[in-house]
Amino acid sequence: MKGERLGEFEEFTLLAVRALGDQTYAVPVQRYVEDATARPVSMGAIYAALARLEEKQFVQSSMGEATARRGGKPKRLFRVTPLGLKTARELHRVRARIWDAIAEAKRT
Amino acid sequence: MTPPVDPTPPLLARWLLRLRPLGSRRAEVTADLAEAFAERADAEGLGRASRRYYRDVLSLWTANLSGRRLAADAVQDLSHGMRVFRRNPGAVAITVGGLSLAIAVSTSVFSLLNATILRPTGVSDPSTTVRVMRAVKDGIATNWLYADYVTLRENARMPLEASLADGARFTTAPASASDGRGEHGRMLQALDDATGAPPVVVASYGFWLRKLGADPTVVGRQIWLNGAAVTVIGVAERSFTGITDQPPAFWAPIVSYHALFSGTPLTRTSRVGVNVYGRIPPGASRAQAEAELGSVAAAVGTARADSGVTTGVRLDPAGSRLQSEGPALLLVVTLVLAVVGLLVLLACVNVANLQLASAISRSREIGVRLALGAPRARIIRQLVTESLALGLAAGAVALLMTIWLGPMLAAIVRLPVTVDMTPDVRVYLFLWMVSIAAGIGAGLAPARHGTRGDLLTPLKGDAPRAGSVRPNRMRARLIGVQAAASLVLLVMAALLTRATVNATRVDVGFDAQSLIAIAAPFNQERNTPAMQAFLAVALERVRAVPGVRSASMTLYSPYSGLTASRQLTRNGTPYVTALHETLADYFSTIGLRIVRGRGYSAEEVATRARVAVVSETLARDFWPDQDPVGQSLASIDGSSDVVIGVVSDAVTARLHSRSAAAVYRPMQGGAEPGEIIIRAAGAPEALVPALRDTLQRLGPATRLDITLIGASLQKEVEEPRILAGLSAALAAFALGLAIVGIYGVTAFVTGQRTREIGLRVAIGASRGDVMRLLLWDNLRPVAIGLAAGACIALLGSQVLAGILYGVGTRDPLAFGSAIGILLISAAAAVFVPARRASRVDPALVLRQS
Repeated sequence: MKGERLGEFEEFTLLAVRALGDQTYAVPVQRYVEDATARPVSMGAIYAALARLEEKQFVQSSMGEATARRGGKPKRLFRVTPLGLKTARELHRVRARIWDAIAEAKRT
Repeated sequence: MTPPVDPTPPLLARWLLRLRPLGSRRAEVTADLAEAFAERADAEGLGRASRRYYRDVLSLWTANLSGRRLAADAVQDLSHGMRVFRRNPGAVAITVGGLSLAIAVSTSVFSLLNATILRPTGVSDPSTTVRVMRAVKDGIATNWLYADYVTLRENARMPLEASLADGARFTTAPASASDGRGEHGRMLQALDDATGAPPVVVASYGFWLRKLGADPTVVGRQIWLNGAAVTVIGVAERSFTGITDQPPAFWAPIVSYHALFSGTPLTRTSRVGVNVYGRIPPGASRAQAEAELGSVAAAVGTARADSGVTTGVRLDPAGSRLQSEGPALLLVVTLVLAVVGLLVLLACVNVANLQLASAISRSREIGVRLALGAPRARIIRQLVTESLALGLAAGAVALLMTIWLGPMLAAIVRLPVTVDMTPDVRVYLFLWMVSIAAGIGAGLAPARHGTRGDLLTPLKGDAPRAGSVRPNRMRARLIGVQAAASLVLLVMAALLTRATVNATRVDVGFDAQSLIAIAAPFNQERNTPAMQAFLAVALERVRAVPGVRSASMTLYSPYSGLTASRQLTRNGTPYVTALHETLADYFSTIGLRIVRGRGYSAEEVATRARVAVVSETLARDFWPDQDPVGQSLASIDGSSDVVIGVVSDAVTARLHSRSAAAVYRPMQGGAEPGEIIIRAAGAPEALVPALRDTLQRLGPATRLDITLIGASLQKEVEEPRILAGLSAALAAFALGLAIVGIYGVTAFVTGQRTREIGLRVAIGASRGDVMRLLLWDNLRPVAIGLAAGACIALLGSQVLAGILYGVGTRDPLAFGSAIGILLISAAAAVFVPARRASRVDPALVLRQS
């Protein structure tokens, strides 16, 4: 399922993974998206978004090391793929172009 | 220092999480949620963290579901289900038929319960409505003298009202006791109760329907009641029953008492007995109101012969029947609902069995879908959708059936016409909830099973032969549940039937059939010296009437609904016994044998001697190894009587308590006038006109009630009969369901085992061996279910025994016959298909495979 588009929530999730320095997992991602959007986000939504992103090959996951904090339980680590990064950048550029055009129209 | 312990997430949420299928991701998801919870608990506090944890867990259930997809799936499942149903219309018809009958029966029973007990009385603001009881030295009395009531009302802060009931005929009840909505006109208001107001009445819906021709223009018209002209000012709405014990034919303000009863007008000193109701004032608690009113009551109370001085009050909730009747009624309601629940459970188990059978024959289809990668949850959803559709279809059919069944049930239990059986929201809600629960419940077990089996066997095409252990165990469990539920219902029915038989043949200790009671009605001024004198003369006249074998007097006649009791102490604990104040010839009149000593003489009655006669039961309880005669009987109030004799036991009230402990003593001649008891030489009915004549000549203005004591006893007996009839019908229905279920499953299972049986026969098993094997295999779960059911029934019978007369807690005949009937039916249901299976031709079977 290559080359699909990004939904709004998926975009936030993808960017959060990137911002957290790739090799992150669901709990920090949830916290990050909540802080960034200033609205409560459920864990189920994060899992669903990560699953869709992985299906679209925008992120990759691998099982990480266990930490003491989690009682020795494993965690799934996510990393943004080049394809994911490219798609997000493309989306950002499209938006910037439109905003520029709006600003242009106002000035004239 | 101990390291800080991470708080644990809420238990319920952790359960919900455990229920969510997560596959291999469980450990990681659980750890994620736990970590997030721990962080939030640190940062935001435990409460917020718990709430977020719940949200996160719930989001796992909902995040992947989109409404549209679910709907699309459901449509797909339904259309697939329809194809399956069409292939097997017989099974579907049986399923829907059985389920709908069970739902209809249970809904009808529920709507009966709803109409008679659960529905509000129609009184506005029922939670503050209380009945004011009189606390006296030995307990609680229900009834107040009108004179006391007047003083009480004038001195109490709480609004009070008196009601005076004349059986089911009418109740005088002022404003708030009949405060409700009118169908036509208006209800009573305070101004109707003012002295000098014209006599008015509000008709009950039933009275209006039957006696006033359902005429809406009746409002404002004058009608004649008891020789008095009264104006009808309104008709109560159908469901309005007021707060008095029995819903009367109409309500009238208490000032119209004299007009309606053709008595003397009520005055401040009238000694008429009334019931008092009140409203707890806003802001006060019941205990506060009780304390306040109690101190007023203690100050004003007139001493009464039967119950002594009023020491305080007790406020009993009167706003709803469930509240005012208390735990006994709640118990009956619970019991009925439990029986109804059992019935639905039985029907569900039947459907589950059918579905299980179909899940097994469909295991190939399911196997293919699983092999192609369908998630198990999806297949479970499909099977549940199918059975939910069956449940809802059954619900729709049941809805139609209820329209017929409801009135039929009302007729069976002889429901008064005023009871409105029209189903309301509660009934519809009940019906749909039961349908949905039945649908899902019936589908869940087979669905779980159907998706569990291995993938290979069904794909190889020999699903029916698979004979894996699991479906057998599941089916055995279902059959066990069915046997248990049927047994419980059958035992209950048997116990109730036995109780009825016992009650109709109850040995009350004397022959009640030819006894007649003559009493001053309670709604009249009966506690007067004039009435006492009148009754004394009447007693002499009645004795001379031809056909009267003997006549005597007692305070309250048997089964009149009134009893006097006396609290004694035995070994330091209170012992309540019936108290009879009688004339000397009471024992010979009602027919009690003097077992020891003697009865009291006419002189002792005349001098009110402190002597007493006790019943055998009481004598045994108090002086097991001594001669009771000559003992002193001390009452809790300090007075004591000398026992001069022992008489045979008699049960004169409250049949189910079967208490035969009684104290008899000479009539004390207090305020209560007593009642005349007559033993007729022939048929008591024939004597009534002569008695009425005699009384009429003696005092044309005095109205006395003449009752046949046999008829009153019959009424007490009646109640369990209705219940027994109902439960017998339910039990027969349950038995039918169980037989059909056991037969169906056995037929299916033995059908599935044809090949195995053929093989057994081929290698030398005799037909008898095969029969024994099949019978044992199929009857074992029935036997286990029966054992479990017997335990439940044992508990249930304890509950029943508390409510009904003559129900034994461990009735071997009831249990034995119920188990016998079920075993025989189950054996028959197993025998027929087993015999068919044992007759297979092994050659044919082996050739086929």
